[in-house]
Amino acid sequence: MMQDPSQLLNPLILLEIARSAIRYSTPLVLAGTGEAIGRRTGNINLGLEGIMAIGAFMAFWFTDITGSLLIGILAAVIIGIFFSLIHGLLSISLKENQVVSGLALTLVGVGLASFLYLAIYGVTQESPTIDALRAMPIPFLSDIPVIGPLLFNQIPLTYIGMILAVIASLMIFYTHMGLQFTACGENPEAAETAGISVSRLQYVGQIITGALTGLGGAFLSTTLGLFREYMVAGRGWITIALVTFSKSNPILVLLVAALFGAGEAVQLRLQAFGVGIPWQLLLTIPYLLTMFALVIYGIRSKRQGRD
Amino acid sequence: MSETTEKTEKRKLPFPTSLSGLGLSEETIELIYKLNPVFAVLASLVLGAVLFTISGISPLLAYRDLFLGAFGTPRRFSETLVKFTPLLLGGLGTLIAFRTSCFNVGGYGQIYIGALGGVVVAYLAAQVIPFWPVNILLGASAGFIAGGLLAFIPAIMKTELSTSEVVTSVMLNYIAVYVAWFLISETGPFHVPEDYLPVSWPLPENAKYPQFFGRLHVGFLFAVIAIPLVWLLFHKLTLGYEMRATGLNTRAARCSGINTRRAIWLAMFFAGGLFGLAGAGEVMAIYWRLPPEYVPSEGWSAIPVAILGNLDPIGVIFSALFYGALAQGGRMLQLFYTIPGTIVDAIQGTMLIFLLIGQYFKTRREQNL
Repeated sequence: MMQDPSQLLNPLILLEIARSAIRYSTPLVLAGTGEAIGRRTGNINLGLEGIMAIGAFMAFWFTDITGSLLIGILAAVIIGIFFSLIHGLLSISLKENQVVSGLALTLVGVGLASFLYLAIYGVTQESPTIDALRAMPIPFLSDIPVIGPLLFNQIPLTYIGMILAVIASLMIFYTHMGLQFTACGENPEAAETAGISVSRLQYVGQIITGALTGLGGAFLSTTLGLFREYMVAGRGWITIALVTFSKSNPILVLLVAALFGAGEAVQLRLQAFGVGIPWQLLLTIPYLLTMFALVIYGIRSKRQGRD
Repeated sequence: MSETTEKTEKRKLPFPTSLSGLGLSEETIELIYKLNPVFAVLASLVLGAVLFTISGISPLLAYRDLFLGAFGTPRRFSETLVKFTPLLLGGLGTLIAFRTSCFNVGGYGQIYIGALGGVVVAYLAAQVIPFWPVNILLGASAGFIAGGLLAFIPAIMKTELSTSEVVTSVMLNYIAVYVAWFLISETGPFHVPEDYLPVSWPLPENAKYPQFFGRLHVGFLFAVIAIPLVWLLFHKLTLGYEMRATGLNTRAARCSGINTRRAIWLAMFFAGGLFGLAGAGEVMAIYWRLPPEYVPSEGWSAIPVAILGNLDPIGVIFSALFYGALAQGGRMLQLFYTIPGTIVDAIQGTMLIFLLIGQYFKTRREQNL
């Protein structure tokens, strides 16, 4: 049913859009925090799309078998670590091209997720479902006006994402280990001379990337309660772009991801309101936003480089 | 990397990294390293066998039927060649880009836009020109240019803003497909009002690629012609040399006076163009219109095709044929056994991983020699 477009500016609806924006940003925050740490060690994992896909499937499958969302989500984390270790083996130990290794992960992850889903569940009239992850309002805090429903009435994975992004930022900038991570990426030879095992830290970075990206994938299937072959829809790639213009800083990832979440939330609302823009073009918003942000970032860093 | 770290790396690996000490002759060892792609294929087929076993199918029977599904009858062989055509074009495009160190991952969108461009231009041309050869050539060129222009965007962003072409080309995949969907939808300009479904203009008879062996069509000939052209580009033309130099070391190439910007632009344009040509061929020969459910998976599998073919035009012929056979055989398998044909995607992806592992040993040996 089309609604009156002027309703879009209703404060209650705006608040609801902001709340969904934070919710939709969760997979980007989770995967982006991991990727930011991985990238600091000097290893870019381009396989996020594939890890998210297989993570989404594993979370769905294991929840369906065991009836426990927790075990499902754990399965997604484990498969994520496994995949990122393959990337680690190829790009760190065997020194293969990081780009190609990441692309291989993407192909395997997306292909395997869709194969396993079809092999196990087949093509059915109605998609099989699991009990979806529900919002978990935090007592007292969620009663605060505006901020309460916005930040403290979300699903648990959203809280985890926000907390992890903050912890990761503190870890990167204020702990010994965090500084070692950055040293590995910025000057591996110097780090090695200083007695840091670069490859070991790169592996640690990859394990974190894989675990958090798997978690991001789990978000997709557990919040909807179902799995779709193409449900990741480029979020892995958007995350990679997002980490680039957040300069691998998880706090910035958190903020920029909220912007992308807003893009998605607004897009969905506009579809429901029928503002006269074709839905196909509304669907391009997150991707156009990414391109636009990359252009701005590129122009800015070029200027800075010239000064 | 300094020599000391090289040595520690060597010690750290938990498996043997060379074949010496097995008592083999030098020639045998050399041959084993040369056959790296074959081993990667075999390893991934073993992994595929595991997947078949899990699905409750005897792997030997499955592979026999996979082979028969691809080559068993002339009809099936022609279908294999139909799938081979866009894979070959995409593989050639990918190898041009990858050789220039441009990781074009936008094949999917480039195929889509090429398909749309081909249909629209061929349809319009057919309204005024009665001769089909002219119309299909116009359509094919439009597809090439449309795909090439789409790939040009990441190329410009790469050279002017140092933006990763991987991310931008993937973003354009989604943008291209959604925009194409709009253009062929009920409200879009390339739609016949009488059609209830969102599909593009239907092609008249004089705008279709002729088919000559089963559904095998003129696009196959275009693909075959492209092979020597790409070979010439890299072996005889200065441009190809400049592209390779840019790919090996962009800064060094620029310092020695090569116009690396032009090399990157043209490499991406050709890559996108070949994908676009593939898309135009698919819709002008097989579908005769652009349906929204068109899924050009070749946009992705062209990458492993190019790498399995050792980024070489001759090698790509074999790898594209192999992937085409896998795709066609996988589809037949789906009919025989009711298992999802996407099993083939998983096999194809793992092949890339094994290939990379094998390549490591090969470069390792070359460094030691």
